[in-house]
Amino acid sequence: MVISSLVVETVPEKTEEVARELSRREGVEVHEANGCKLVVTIEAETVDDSHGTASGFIAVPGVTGINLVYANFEDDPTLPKAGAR
Amino acid sequence: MDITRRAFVKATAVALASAAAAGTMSSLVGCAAGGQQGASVPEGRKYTAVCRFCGCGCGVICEVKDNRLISVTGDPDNESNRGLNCVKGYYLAKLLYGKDRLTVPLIRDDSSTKGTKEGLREATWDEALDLVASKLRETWKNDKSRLAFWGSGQQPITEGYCTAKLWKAGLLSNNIDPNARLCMASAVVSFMNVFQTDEPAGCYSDLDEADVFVTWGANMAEAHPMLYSRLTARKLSGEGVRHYDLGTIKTRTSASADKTLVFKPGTDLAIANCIANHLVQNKLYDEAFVNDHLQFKQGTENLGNPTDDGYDASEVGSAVDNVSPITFEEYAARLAPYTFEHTSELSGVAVEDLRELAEVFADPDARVMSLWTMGVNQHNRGTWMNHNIYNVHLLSGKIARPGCGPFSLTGQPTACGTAREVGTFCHRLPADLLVANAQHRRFSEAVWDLPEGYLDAIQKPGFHTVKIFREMSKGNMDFLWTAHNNWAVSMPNLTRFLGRGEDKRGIFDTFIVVNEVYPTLSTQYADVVFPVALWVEREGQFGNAERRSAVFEKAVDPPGEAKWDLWVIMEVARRVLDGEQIGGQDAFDHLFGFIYDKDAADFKGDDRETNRAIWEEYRIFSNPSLNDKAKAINDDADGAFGAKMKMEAKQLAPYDEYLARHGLTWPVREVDGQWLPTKWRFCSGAQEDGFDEVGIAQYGAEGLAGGVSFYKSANMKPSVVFRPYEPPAETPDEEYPFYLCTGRLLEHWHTGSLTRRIPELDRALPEALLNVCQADCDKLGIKDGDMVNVRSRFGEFDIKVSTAGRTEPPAGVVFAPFFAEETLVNLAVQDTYCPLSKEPDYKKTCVSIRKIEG
Repeated sequence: MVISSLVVETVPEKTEEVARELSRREGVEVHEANGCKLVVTIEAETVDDSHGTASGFIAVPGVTGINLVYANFEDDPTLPKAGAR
Repeated sequence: MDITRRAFVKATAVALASAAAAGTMSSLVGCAAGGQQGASVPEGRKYTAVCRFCGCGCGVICEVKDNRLISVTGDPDNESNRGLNCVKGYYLAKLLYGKDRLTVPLIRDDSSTKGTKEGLREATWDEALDLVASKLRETWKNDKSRLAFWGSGQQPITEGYCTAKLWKAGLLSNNIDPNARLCMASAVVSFMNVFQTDEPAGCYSDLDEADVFVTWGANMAEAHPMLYSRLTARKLSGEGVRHYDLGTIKTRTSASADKTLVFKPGTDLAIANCIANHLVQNKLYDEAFVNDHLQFKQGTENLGNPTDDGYDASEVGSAVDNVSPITFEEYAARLAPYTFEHTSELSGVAVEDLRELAEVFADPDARVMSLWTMGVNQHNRGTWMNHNIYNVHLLSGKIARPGCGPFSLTGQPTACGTAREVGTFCHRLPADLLVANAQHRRFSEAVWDLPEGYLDAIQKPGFHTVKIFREMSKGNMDFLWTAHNNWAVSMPNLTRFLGRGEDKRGIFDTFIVVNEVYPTLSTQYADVVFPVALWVEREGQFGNAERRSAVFEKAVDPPGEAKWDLWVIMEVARRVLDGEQIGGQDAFDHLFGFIYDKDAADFKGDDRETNRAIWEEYRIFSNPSLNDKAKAINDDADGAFGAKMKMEAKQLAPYDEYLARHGLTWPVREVDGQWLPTKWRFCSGAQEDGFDEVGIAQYGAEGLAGGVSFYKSANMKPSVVFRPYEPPAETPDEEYPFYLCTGRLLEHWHTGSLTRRIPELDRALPEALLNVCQADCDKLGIKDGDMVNVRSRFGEFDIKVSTAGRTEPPAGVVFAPFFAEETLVNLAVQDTYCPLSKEPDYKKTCVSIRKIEG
């Protein structure tokens, strides 16, 4: 499982609406809002899945920016293990 | 991951993002204090680094367990991005772990197999190094004009520095140039012409304070996402911030702009002159600023275009840099034809839109930031267009102050740090110095401890990039070594340069060496491939667009037998220079003995010690007081040269400061024992607040208009040079009725050699599509999804049409990204370049489009 966190920026009048929409998505949790910024985590099987989920946020009306803060991929089964290279 | 670990990672993720949103992230990140290599924490060891992908230069913290990267975190202590990365950050791990990493040296025995996936066999390092060194030495002894090194804006600073030192001082050759010639050369030449110093006065913080943004031919939303995110955040601040987007096509950047001005290719020159004309004719310029700071010039005009190999040596070609002084009144008279009406007719932009844009610069209170990159630089008058943007900002006094200024963006992680600051160009020495200038050569000889006059052998510039490849195609090159680039995809006119046109032999007869991390189209033409370390597999440094130098620490080992590029350079150098002397000493030891033990075939210290030692030598160029001889030349102590060099204008700090501070913007000044960066060059104010207090005190003057002092410029006055509109090298005709514009999109940077290894990114944008507007589709009888043949005077390629693509070209213009080697759009792109910067125009090749039936 890949765990990552992001700050998603929104237009001021749509912060709550965006939070609701993101929360509905698989593996996504919205933890708090700080002004127009949402603190979001994504839990997905691989880095690819995480990227796909995060990239999809840009199409949500009201989202103005997606910033990746942290990505832990130690359990991504598609990445080679140490010593395998 | 067990439950405890998973809970810990999740809690960490939430805490970091929460702190990032609140702007208090610094205290949470493991090595926030910096400087300690691999700070040990229970989870894994953490290392400071800089993102490998685009030119923004964002800081990241890499976490490593069992020699494997397990997480990345935005670095809150890197001021360029303050803890926030774009979604490309997900792929920093995958970058290292692609399945086809090159791990052993490869040799091609039969050059007729070039251009195919066959023909390379595995070899030992000794065999490969001996072969390369013998070919280089043979060419060097036989005819130095027949060898070249082609580097990159992705080559870390210390590696670029040592390569330049080997080529310039070791081989006494100027045939070294970087791929930055293809993206930043026009910006560089203009900076030098206008200010006599390279790189912007402002910084990324200007994005947080500007009132108006003007993007000139720059798709920042895709090419510089982190900076664009700052721009949009500023726009949403509720303070009436506006954004004007100018371009020849509409892009994702246009989508969020308040107004998009689509102009006919090449007429941006006229638009900028039109703004200047409005300011001058209506006395809306900043008069005090003009009087205190500016000098006016005009230069050689009617340049024609370097379509012919003999252009540079022709009468006009050798006069392109000439300028002469003119009065302000004469400048005004030259601008007079650029009325709104005339400019509208030329450009296709409505008079009222031109007027609205000009009024932005006429507003004395508006802080205006111009941003540009390839649309302006990859232009048959790229240097001129850079000039014209500066002219508008200089006339209006909107420069070198917070929130205000012209800002030239870069495309590669260290185009500024390595190509430009180290000077890996055919006409350069480190730190903006020129081979053609005697004072600059004496100064470099002092730093490198060379006998006086030693560098006079390289006073004539060598071959620029297009010249290298043109000469190769004609069979005039015997040895070419390339590193950190993919020229077989990125060069224009590939039909000629890959031997598919009339010049067939050159690429097959030249002995080509490629340093690479993955197989690319360029390795298919290599005689030897050296497998090298990628990103944090060794320590290095990048310098980004806001003059920030930052270190990335070594975090993991390279795979297999892959080696640090610098080791490869040293091993070739010691073989080639065997038996040579400089000033009665062994040549290799004289140049590199301070870091390398040639008998042990290894560095004297570890990665950190080696980098620190190189940096400390490189730093003398901008800290001349560290070397008595250099200091005397910098000060022109004996009056031999008639001017001081003012090398401190680019002052760099000791190496360990960069580790401790996670990057610093130069000039970095020592004040009361503390090294303080400069965010706004030439602007008065306290050094501790990021202003250029120390520089102005040393070489400038206080009390001038706008509180700025351009102390590095000749007579402390930047040059406003009148540059007219001259048309593109080719204009559409019956046979080739469309302009082809090429560019890059979010998922792929450079030539895709790194990003296309990442399956998700490749799936997101698997193929290059030709964006064509519906009206042109109707005219051509083609529709979305059709395959077409695109043909120019230079070559042809086949590509699929898209009417719903990422860009919206107007009628008469089509767009294609250049990353895909299976499409290879550059087969048809002209190799005509800006006569001043020698940077090719990738944006305006005239083409025909024909549907491929069936």
